[in-house]
Amino acid sequence: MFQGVSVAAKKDRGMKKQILPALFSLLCLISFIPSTNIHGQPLTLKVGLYENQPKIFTDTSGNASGFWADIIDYIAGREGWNVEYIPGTWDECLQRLAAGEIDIMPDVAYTPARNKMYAFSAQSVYTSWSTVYIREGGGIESLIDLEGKTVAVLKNSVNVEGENGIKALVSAFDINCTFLEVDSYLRVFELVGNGQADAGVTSKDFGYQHESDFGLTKTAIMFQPSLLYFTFPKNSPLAAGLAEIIDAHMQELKENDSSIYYQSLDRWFGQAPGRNIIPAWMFWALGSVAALILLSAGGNFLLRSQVSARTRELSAEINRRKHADEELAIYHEQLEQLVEMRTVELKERTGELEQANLHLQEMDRLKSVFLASMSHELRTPLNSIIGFTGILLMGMPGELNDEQKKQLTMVKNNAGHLLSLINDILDISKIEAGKAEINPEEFRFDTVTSEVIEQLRPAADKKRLEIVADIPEDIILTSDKRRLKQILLNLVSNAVKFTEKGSVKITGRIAGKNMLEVEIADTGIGIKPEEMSKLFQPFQQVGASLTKKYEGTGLGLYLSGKLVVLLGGTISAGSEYGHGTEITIALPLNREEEKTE
Amino acid sequence: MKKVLVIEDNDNNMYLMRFMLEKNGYRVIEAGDGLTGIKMAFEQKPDLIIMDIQLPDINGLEATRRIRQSDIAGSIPIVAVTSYAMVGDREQTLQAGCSGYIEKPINPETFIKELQKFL
Repeated sequence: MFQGVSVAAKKDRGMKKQILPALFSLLCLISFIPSTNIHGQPLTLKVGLYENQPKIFTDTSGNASGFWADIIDYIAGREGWNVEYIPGTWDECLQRLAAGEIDIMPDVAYTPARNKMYAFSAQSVYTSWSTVYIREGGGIESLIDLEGKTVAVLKNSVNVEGENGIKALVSAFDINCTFLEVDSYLRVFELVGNGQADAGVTSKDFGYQHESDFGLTKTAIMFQPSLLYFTFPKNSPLAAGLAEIIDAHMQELKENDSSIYYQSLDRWFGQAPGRNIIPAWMFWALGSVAALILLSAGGNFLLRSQVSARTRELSAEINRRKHADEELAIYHEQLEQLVEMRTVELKERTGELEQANLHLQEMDRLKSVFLASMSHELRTPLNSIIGFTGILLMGMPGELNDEQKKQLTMVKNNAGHLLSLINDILDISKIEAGKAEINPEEFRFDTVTSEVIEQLRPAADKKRLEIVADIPEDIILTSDKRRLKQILLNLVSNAVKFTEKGSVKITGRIAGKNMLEVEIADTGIGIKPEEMSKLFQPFQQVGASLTKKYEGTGLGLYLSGKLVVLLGGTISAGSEYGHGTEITIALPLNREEEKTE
Repeated sequence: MKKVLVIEDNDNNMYLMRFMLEKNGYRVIEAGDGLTGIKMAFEQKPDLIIMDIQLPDINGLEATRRIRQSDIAGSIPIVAVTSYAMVGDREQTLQAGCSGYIEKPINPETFIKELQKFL
């Protein structure tokens, strides 16, 4: 857009010749304007001075200097005026102008608002625009980048408050930024330079002159092209005359290529724009064109900025998503690792458990082996004890007296009891070790019950108990006869043991398709309900007080239960305390069939 | 007088059996281990052998097999007397060639009667 301006300026000059006649007529018009009495008289004019090097400023020796000062001093010299510069901030200068405290204020950009407050000269003196400056590498490239930033501006400057000023621009783009309004462009640059502001707005010439002093750089944000005028207090009689005189001088100066005007432009701005003798309306037109071009270029730029900002936002969004995806992937991986770790742990744990299980099985096996060899080792001395008591009682070594017989019988009975215990333990350990084999054979069930009753009859007779058997003759079993006899011996001897009066009844019947049901019912002491659950546990002769009265290994029912299961059957008990007990076993008629099924 | 070879490593049990056998009119010869037992079986050709299964050198089953394989002593009845009561003990002794099986502890009242089945 910078180029756009210079192209317009060239065109400007190209049109000069056609415009000349028009200018002449304008000059004639001005010469008819009646001179005021100021003309030729020593007059002191108060001129507002603010610091905007190189346009107008106080030099090192305290004198007013700069482009505007050159023009003012020249005109004052020609008119014989005394000039008194009144220094102040831009805002102060404008306030003084409004209050009529100064007569002339240079370097004022035209705005309709200002036109209501001040009188403008007809001739513009200079063209300028504003630029946003930032620190080197400040990262602000377009208007949009000002979002959330702090921007230092010159208070009451056209580039702040003007129609196309920075405030209007940012509000048009919905950009929120904070403005630090200060009194001079120098202060603007100080704030940007020391980081108190992110960006600063100054006129192009001030920025050009001072940017390197503060380590600042120009951004592409350029706006508010302005024509700058002399201004005077509104409604001041002096002002009208002053404007006329100054306008006349300006016109003259602009027409002469070697005038102080062009010399001064060259001196302060390093440019020789050539003669700029253009009528005001023409300049306005061209200015408008330039402004339009500037604005359209600016618009393009802003559009581009917006597009690029949008692109940046999009790529930022893409990056964010990529990042999120990566994070997800990481989480996923972590999760997988976790799962794998847990799997390994589980496998280890399973291995440990298997190992522990094997260990337990081995322990169990060792226990059985231990029990078996213990039984063997216990049986060997029992062989001698039982054998020798036996032959002594038989009187083989010689006759015994009654007391000797009685005592030896006690030895023999206790040895027999010990043997029963050992046998039971051996059987249980075999069953629990899974080493109890069954040897099935076919037999009539009633033959087994007969043998059992035969064996237990002496004990029953002693207590005057009746043992009744109700077994059909046609029940044929295929099972382990020895084991079944062992079971029945245990159950029936228990019944005899715990019955003082009445009878023990053995009932057998076919139940269902191929099951034998045997019930051993007595009229004995019975079992308390709360003790029923202990019935099939080892060393749990129910009723602790009974242990003395009723001898037994305490393993009988436990072993019987194990044996029944070994033969593929079930065992259950029912009792009415004080009236009797029924033990029922159910066995498959064919243990082999049962096993292979 | 019939001759019974008792192969048994426990002195007390040996004494118990010798006592019962001699009281019932048998002549007893003793062997404390398996190999001695085999040798005596071959040399003295007893009418009956009582074989303990757990012996210090070769076990009673192996001793039984070797005796059964010989021509001289192969037909002598052998009765296993053992406190081994594990699964299949009875079957194992019969398979090894024993004529019968008496479980320890022996019952003095029936012991001689059971032995006489094999004489």
